[in-house]
Amino acid sequence: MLRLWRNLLVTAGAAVGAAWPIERAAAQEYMGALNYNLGIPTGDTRTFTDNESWLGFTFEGNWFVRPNASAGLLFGWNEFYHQTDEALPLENGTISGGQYRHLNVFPMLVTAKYYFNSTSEDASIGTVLAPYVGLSTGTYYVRQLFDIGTREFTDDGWLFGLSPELGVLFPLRMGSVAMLSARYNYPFSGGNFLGDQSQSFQYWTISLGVAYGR
Amino acid sequence: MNLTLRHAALATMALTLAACYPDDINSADDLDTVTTLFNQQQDFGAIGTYVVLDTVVFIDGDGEGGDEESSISHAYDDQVLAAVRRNLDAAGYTELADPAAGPPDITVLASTTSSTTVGVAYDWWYYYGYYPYWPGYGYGAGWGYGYPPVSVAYAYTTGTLLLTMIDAKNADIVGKKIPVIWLGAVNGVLTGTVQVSRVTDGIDQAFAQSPYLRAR
Repeated sequence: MLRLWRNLLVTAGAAVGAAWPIERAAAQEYMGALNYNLGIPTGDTRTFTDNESWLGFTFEGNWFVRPNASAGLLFGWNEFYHQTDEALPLENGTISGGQYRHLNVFPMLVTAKYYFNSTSEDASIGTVLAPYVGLSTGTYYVRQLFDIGTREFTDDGWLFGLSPELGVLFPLRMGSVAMLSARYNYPFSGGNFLGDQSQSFQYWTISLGVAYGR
Repeated sequence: MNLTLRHAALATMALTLAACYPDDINSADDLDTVTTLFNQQQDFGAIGTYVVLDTVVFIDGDGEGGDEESSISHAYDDQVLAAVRRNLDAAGYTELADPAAGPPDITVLASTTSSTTVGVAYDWWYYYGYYPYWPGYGYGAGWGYGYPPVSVAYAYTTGTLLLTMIDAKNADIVGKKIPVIWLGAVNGVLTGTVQVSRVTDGIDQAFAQSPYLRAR
């Protein structure tokens, strides 16, 4: 795991360094964004909480190394919630009652993005419609909570993961920018969650937000 | 991007999140649970007759009676036992009218127990109080709002109805062991008012989630 982290950091650093222009003529230096997230569970996430998450947001900071490329940081949160009365099988029996399941996921990622249609000062972020692709890597803090009756069971863990993204920037009036994107969050299986199991809590996020920059 | 639009975006997001937070438990019966356990080696299809003891026994944890016993009412024992018989009949078993005529295949015992949980909850939102002050003097000595309570003590009592199905015909007399082939436990938070339907519904659920009892 440590070797993987080291290799990724070295690769990311080399990529940023190779992209660093000799003459920095970027029309946009920095762009911060605040997004509302809709979370769509898949895999282990859907097994535990079979409902979309309407609670979530991300903060992003993107620093432009070229007019059409940025690197940055992302911090986010989504809570998945599921209430059910279905009976749960035990090793030699069954338990039923109101179950309240919460899954809180906090991604903390390093991001890299490439913007189309944004190649010069005349066609820079904030002035043109700019589709983009991105790839992020980092860690996900996951907290799992299971309530049944008067008993509460919790477990948490840190998972390394990747997150590809597709999005588009819309220029708005007053110089602001709207962001619409789809991101797949893929924490790799690990940890020791409820049921003494390793889990990979994967999910999609559909994000809509506003961005500001200089 | 101007400040007005940025602030509007933040405010909108905060309001959206506050409005969307899911509600959890709204009443005591949301906390009711039914647990059933069974002996996987038991052939329930071979069971024909049963007897239900006519008393719901209170299991006193400390053996000294007192407040714990008073939290469980015996006024509804007949309704509880009737619900047990109804479900056993529906599962295809036959109640032995005269136990003296011969041992039943199974004997069902109903018992109750209760437990009180106490604890302290901390509310960090009100950690800091607010002190008004006289201008020029800083915080006024002796004046000001006291800190709102940061901790709240709580206590609740849960009650459990246990249904124990034993196979007395195969009791180990020497080892003093009687096989328990099925156990049902209906658990819930006790409130000031009696809702016998919560108990009888729990009994029905215990049998509904045990389809092997009807294997014949």
